[in-house]
This record gives sequence, structure tokens and C-alpha cells, in this order.
Amino acid sequence: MTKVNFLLRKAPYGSVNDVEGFRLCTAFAAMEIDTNAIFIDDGVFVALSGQDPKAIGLPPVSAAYERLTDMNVKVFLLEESLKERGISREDLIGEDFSLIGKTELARLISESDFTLSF
Amino acid sequence: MTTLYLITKSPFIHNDPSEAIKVATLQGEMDDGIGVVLLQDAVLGAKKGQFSEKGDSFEQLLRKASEKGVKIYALEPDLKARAIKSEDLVEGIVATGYFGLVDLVMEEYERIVSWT
Repeated sequence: MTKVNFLLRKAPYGSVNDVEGFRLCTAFAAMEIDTNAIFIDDGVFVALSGQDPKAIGLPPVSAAYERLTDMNVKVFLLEESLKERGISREDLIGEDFSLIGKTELARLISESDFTLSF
Repeated sequence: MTTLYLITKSPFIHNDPSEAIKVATLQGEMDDGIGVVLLQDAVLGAKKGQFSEKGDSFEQLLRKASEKGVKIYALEPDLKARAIKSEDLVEGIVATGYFGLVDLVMEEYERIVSWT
């Protein structure tokens, strides 16, 4: 079975990278491809609970994030990125994610057929 | 003359927000009436509890700036969008709305440095 990783590296709202990444990510998952969404660097802010973007006139990026696991996408968050940004496990949406280190990130990439970065 | 710095980028993936804070801090040592506004992705740096493996975290730079009398503001709609709660803000940061921002730019400060 084909294995694909999505690296989501950008903060929500500042750019459309995450939203575009999600679109492709769910498309792959719908084709029954083994899909991982890996949130690193500012991408981890996508998983922060309590987002309220009404005042800046945008829909919540977190809504698409919450749908990933329903689409059988496995969600990973890089622990180093969370620590650097002062984000703890309790600050995050839901529980359907795995916290990983850089070594595991490297292993996920090495086991994948291809890895796309957003 | 009073000076207000505007910062818009994430301090975790860009270097310029840190550079802007350092310059504002140096100016704070010389002059009174120095302010910094965090806008857009820059508000991500307003959350306390940051950790840096090498050098000061952005949080530490903000604290050092405050010690020199630099006032730090963050745009509230951008904070709310990104789930940065008021109780999680680095001590001393003042959340301001769009009208407050207009006041800061048009009335309270004489010189604007847009570090975007």
C-alpha cells in the first residue's frame, strides 16, 4: 500500500498553506492511500483548541483539522515544536493524535513512498 | 519623538521579529515612549511558556523589552483567531482591538516603524 506523509509547517490564518494541505490530504485518504498528517514548526498552532477567527472574517482552520481522523488520516505532532511554543497537551484539540520526536519524524519519512510539504 | 514598531511575522520561523524587538529594546534604553504592536502571525509569539534551545526565546526578548519601558501590544482579533487566550499572554502585553490600533498609530505615537 502506498504511504504518503503531509508535512504541515505553517501557522493557520497567516497563509492558506494548511487549508490547501488538508484538501490534498483528505483526497489521498479518500483514495484509500495510507496518509499521515504531520504537524511541525508553526503548523502545530492548527491543533490549538479555542480558535475564533470570526473577527478577522475567516472560517476556523481547526474544523478541517478535526475531520482528518474521520477520514482515516493519522495525525502526528512534533513535540519539540510544541515545547518551543509553550503549548501543552491540554491546550490541544481532541486526543486522536500522536506526539513524536525528530527521530520518529525521520522514520516516518524513511518509511513513506513520498512526503509533501506545505 | 515617540516610536511604535509594527511586527507581523511569526517569531518562530522568521528572524526579523526578534531583530525588531532587540532594536526597540535598545531604543527603550535611550528614549521614553517606545511601543511594539504584534499583528497577524506575530501574535503567536505573545504566548508564554516558550522554550529556546539556543539563545533567548521571543518571550524572553519581550520581557527584556518591557524591563526597558517598551510597551507591548497585541491585536485582539488575531489573538482570538489563533486561540491565544488572555491568561496565556506574556505578562505586560496589552490586547487591543482595531480601533485601539488606529489610536496608537494615528494619535499616541509620532513615528511608525513598520517591520514587516
